[in-house]
Amino acid sequence: MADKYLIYVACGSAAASAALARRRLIDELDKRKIKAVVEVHRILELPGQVANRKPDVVVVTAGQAPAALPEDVLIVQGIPLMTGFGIDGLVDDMLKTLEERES
Amino acid sequence: MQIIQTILDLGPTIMMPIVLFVMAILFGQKVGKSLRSALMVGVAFIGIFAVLNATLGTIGPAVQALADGLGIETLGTDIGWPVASAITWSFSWAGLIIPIGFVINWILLGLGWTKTFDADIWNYWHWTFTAAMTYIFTDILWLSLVLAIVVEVITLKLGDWTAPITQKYFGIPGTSLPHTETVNWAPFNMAIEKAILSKIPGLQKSKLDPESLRERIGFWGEPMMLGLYIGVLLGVFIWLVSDYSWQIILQLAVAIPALIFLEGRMIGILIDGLTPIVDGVRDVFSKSERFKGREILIGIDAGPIGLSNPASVVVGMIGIVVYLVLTLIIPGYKILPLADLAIVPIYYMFAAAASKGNLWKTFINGTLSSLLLLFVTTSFAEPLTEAAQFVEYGLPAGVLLISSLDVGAHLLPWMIVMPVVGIVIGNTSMIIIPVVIAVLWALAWVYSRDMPEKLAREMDEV
Repeated sequence: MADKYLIYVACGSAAASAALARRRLIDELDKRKIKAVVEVHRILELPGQVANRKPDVVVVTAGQAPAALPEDVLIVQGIPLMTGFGIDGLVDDMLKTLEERES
Repeated sequence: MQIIQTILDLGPTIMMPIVLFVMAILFGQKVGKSLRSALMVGVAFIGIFAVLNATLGTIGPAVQALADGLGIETLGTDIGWPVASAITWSFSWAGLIIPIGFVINWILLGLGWTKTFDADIWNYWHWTFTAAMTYIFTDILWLSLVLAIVVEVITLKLGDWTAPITQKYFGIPGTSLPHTETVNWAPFNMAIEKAILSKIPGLQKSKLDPESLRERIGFWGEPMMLGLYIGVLLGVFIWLVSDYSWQIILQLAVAIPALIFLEGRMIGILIDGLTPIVDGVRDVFSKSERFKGREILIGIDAGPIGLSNPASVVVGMIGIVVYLVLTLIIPGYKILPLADLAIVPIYYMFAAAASKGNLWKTFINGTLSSLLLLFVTTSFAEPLTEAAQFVEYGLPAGVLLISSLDVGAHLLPWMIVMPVVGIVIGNTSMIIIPVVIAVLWALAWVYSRDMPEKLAREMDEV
């Protein structure tokens, strides 16, 4: 069993599209049998949430990530989670980077 | 046929899951996943109306008491976009808009009339809303669907047109924002920037940095917290001008955050349930060989883009006060902004794009839009209230009129529905204002047609 990752999906509203992005990410991770906790947070609250409990990855669905995030948190641009196209590549790249960081 | 009608008559909590299940299967999704998702949609519909029932009974009469105290005849309640969209989807034929919208988009792409493939299926509700408003006035289904299609086509064109600057300014390459209620303000925003704001020397340099201001807002700008301020402020007003005792302050301080926060959660559940349809539509599209090698823009939801854009968020916080003050001082606005105050930033997002994030210009430009937005909010209030009754959602006692800022942001549907309906039902007074606005709007679009490209080039040069 793979490691358990903590992933934050950061979105403007944490309502409609964030739910879609989260569901798509979970489905894609399930397919690869990767265990992860995926939480949605609003971009405005992200720095606070990250300081509170540091995730392995922050996926920003759209727009600008807040500048003040710790360097060891992987930031991923998550537009594919909004459009629905290219999610495979996004998740592959994300997992590869995470594995490289661990080794 | 009888059985189909019987099921449709059971209302959205039963009908929508069945319709969506069938649709997910047709789009090639697995049975188990489709069933689970369809059920979630039904659960979400129950949740949306339950939340409204639990909060509107407190909020609605209090708003009316404020109106009485201020000597305003009626003041309806802004129930928020989640409820407005749920009412819209509750029409028995509403589910038809998804396949129709998809097919129309497909045909337009095939003809090369648009570059946008709108993957944001949820927000097809803007077109469903267009149809629902037409239907309430006319009872003519084919006409309702035709107007929905007209709005779709124009919205896709608006998405194409604004794409150069939305991609660049919001940082969303490969996409467009065919999101009626926001992008339909772009012609006015772009024209005002081009004709006026860009020519005022003192406005061109803003020392305020939206990004650092946004960071400072933090959780104080969270929708639930916004609900608290609005609730307390409103409660104090009501306490001062009506028979209510001071407890109303505390009651509204919880009821309004509850409405905003819980409806947001319910929509999250609803969207989770819609995923198989959304992905089914995408799969059909991506398996097609037709559009290979062509430049296709993927249409996405503008909501989260606006709510994460620093300039829109910062100006939107001030906009909340603007919306409330305008409603109370200008006669004729009959809906008190409440639940949708949490998403005011998205009504400033195209003003932000037009000025590339200049806070002063965003504020001026977006505030000009708000004058019209509040007017449309009131204009749609009666048909929306009637629609709620039509789909047998019983409004709590003391609630006479409902609408939402987001409904009022549907400028394009309003400009098209009102004149057509006015002609069909023979009510000429409905026609004039929307037609005048529509002419101005079209002229604004023509006048500013070079703006998105030009703004994008300017951003490259910096």
